Amino acid sequence: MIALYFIGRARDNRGEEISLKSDLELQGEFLASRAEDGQVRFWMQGRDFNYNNDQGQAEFAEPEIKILTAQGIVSVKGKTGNYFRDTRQVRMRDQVEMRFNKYLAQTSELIYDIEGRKCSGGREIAVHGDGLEFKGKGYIFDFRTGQIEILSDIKGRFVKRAI
Amino acid sequence: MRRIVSAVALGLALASAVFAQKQNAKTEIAFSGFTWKPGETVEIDADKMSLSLNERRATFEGKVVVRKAASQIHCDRLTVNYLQSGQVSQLLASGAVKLSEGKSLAAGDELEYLKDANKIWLRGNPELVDGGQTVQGEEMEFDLSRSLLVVTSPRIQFEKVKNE
Repeated sequence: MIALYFIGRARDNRGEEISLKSDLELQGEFLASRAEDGQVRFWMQGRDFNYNNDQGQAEFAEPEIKILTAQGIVSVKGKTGNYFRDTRQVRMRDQVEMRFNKYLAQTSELIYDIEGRKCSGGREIAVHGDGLEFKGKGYIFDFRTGQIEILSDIKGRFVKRAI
Repeated sequence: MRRIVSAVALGLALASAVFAQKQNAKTEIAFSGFTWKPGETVEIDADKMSLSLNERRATFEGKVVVRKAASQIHCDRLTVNYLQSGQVSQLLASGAVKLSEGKSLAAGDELEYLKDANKIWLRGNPELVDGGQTVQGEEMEFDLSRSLLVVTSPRIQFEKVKNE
């Protein structure tokens, strides 16, 4: 299994690798990344990262993750974030925005499964882009296939627009 | 619509029949609501949706309702191919398909709409009902540009219209 390493920017600590095996507090802005097969495919940044090793989770503010996918880079922002060591998931809450290609998805909670390369959530979601506007409840975005599923209560429309 | 059905009666002996209406502003073929006009929208409700970003393809399942101008489609499953502009280029509906506009109602197993052709095809035991008159056939083609309905192997039933 590929370990998740944090390249502690902490602005001043660029390049230092820190594995999550002890409590960790990063004050101010931080930037973390994860490489797979020699290529960086996942970035996570935010503010005030506090990791509790006993609980196996971290809290941080203003989270933003970027994921390199076959569809390009997907960017996800929120107001509050958690990282869960054992499940290797990142959870974002409050005014969560996901941008990919020319699409924008807005929801209030999102969980990113780092190993599965999927975003999911049970809350309402609105997706806009390429002339479509759809809302629904519950979603799964599989970055491997480039498919978004909205699981219930679909309402929306296609709007022809001038390019 | 009655002109269409009247024409059907004349064409009963043919293996396939072509029914044309006079093209003017007042005589429109049923389901002309699917003729695309700038700024119009296609509204869709469903239980579930899957969006393939690379293909610009959306698939809807469960209690699917499509609203386009005065026309509506009800079906179990719908695939929509769309362009970057949001223009719907193709609709593929299946499972208990019902297409309605005003007093016109058509039903079948499958429906296809192609924007470039500006046509709707209804397949799988298609049936068109309007004003107590029923047309059935192997396939129905609604040519929205030419206000033309083509029914392959048509069968027609008439009901006497009650005087009001």
